[in-house]
Amino acid sequence: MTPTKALSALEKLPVEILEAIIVWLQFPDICSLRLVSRTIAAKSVQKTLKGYFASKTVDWTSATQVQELVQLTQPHRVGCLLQNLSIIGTAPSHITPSNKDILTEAFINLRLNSVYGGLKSIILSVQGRDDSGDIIPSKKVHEWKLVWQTASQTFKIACRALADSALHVERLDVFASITRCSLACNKIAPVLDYTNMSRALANLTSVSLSLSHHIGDDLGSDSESESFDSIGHSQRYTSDIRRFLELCSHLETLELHWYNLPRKSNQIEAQKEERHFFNEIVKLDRLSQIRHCRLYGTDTNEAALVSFCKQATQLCSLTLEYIHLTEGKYEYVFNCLANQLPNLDYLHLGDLYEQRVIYFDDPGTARFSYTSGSNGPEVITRTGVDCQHPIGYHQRRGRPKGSPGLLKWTRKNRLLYGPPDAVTSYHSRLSKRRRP
Amino acid sequence: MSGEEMITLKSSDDVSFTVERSVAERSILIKHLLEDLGTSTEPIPIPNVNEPVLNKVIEWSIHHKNDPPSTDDNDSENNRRRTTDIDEWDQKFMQVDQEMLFEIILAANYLDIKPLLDVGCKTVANMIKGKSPEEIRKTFNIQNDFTPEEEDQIRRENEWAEDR
Repeated sequence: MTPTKALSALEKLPVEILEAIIVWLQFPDICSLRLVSRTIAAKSVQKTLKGYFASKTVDWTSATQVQELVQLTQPHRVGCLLQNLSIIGTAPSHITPSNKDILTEAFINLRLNSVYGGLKSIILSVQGRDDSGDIIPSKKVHEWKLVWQTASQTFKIACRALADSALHVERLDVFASITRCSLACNKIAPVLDYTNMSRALANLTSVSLSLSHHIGDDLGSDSESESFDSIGHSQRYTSDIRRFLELCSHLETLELHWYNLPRKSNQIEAQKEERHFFNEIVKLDRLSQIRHCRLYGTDTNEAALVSFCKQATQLCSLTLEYIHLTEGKYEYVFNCLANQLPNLDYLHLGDLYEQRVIYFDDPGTARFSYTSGSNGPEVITRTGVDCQHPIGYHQRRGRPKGSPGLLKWTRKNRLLYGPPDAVTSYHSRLSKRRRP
Repeated sequence: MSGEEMITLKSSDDVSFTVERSVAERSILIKHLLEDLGTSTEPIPIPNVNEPVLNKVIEWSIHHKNDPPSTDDNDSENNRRRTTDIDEWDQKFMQVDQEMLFEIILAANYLDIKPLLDVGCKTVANMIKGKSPEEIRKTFNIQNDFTPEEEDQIRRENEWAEDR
């Protein structure tokens, strides 16, 4: 037993005063202070320090990092203060039984020991390594298929851990926070078919999904002569997306992003079917409880958007960006927005296509200059009662003049919505140049 | 002499101080008390603060009696962390032994004098800044009661939070 020691004046301070001192300190000084004595270490974990322990990124492909998460989520350890957990996979990755189990163990610890009774958010993402082994973001990884493979493994391992632990999570973000990384739509079924996700997903109030066309299992093959290229398969993949969201029975915030993979000549119809996945989403049972919706990059039609507006009657905020209408007109969709959604308080519309991009009649100018006539803005944001005002738009007048801005904009869209390029790294560019 | 109303405060060791109402009202606790009592000539007992400390608190309050009211409600945590700069008079005022420094902080907290509490806490924060754990222990006369394992555990937690 340690003999009782005489406490110094600093140690005797009430916790709220120690906290009032800590707010004036930078993090390295707080760390030094925690290492002074047991009493100080225990008393120092108040609002300021809790903020530092609230968010953490853990690479599930690193056994050390996941082990540490298990350690620090033991009772009374600082991992129990975690609120936002980012789970990242480093490409190339392989699921081993051990890293799957230890992530589940960490989630079980969080369920049992979290001071908040669970997590506010789980954010899934992917990163890679460059030729010299340094960490790089997903958009810089040379081979996009490696990113997609790691993404599907990250999704799988996180879903399994969520299901097996029954950890309470409010928000799930599946690759929506990073660019050039999405979940291939054919990778949802393997999770839903073999894991009972109903309890884990029922707790979610917010889901963000970045989705893409299906991918093959063979990373090397480019022939795509696999068996999953029929429209029938693609219909199943889009219904898997709906099936996943159907299990999120308390969903209030829904964000969906679509990313196009390279076109395959033998899969044009199948890919088109997948790109129209939103037409399947409008069949969801509980659209009436959705309050916030953000939709990016998908193809859909007038009927689907009108149906969505008619069902999602509680909608408070809506974002539609880079949406291609392949049938019908926006006119009727906009009528519905203005007339059917009395609670709508925030509306953001941008780069909407009816064959070509449409321009709004609202004040403002288009992004680029045109040869003749002037066009209204391609992007509008309305708040408050303006959301219930009629939305007018027109087709392009004149042709866009070529500009560096146009090229930059095209590149940005390609980064956000695909298809992916192979990124040439500095080293491989160098080695190519050296070739005779 | 201004014709301002005078208030008598009585320390825990029964020493009375007569001050202008605006000086006494630097303490939100006393301000609310006076509002509730109405006009009263009775001395106000300050049971938690002894004479030397109350003397210091009054000295500070006299110097700062005309300060504009702080817009504390708008102060976000981030803004608060921006600087530990202390004005020259307050710095000199805080040049007291540690026992007195902590007594002033506790009194400012009890009497609800936010600007004085801030100056006190900033002074302590400045005594911590840039120091190693051992140097902090020396400064505040603290005994290290960690086992090596516990110390290692805290160090790992710190690293975990640093590498978010």
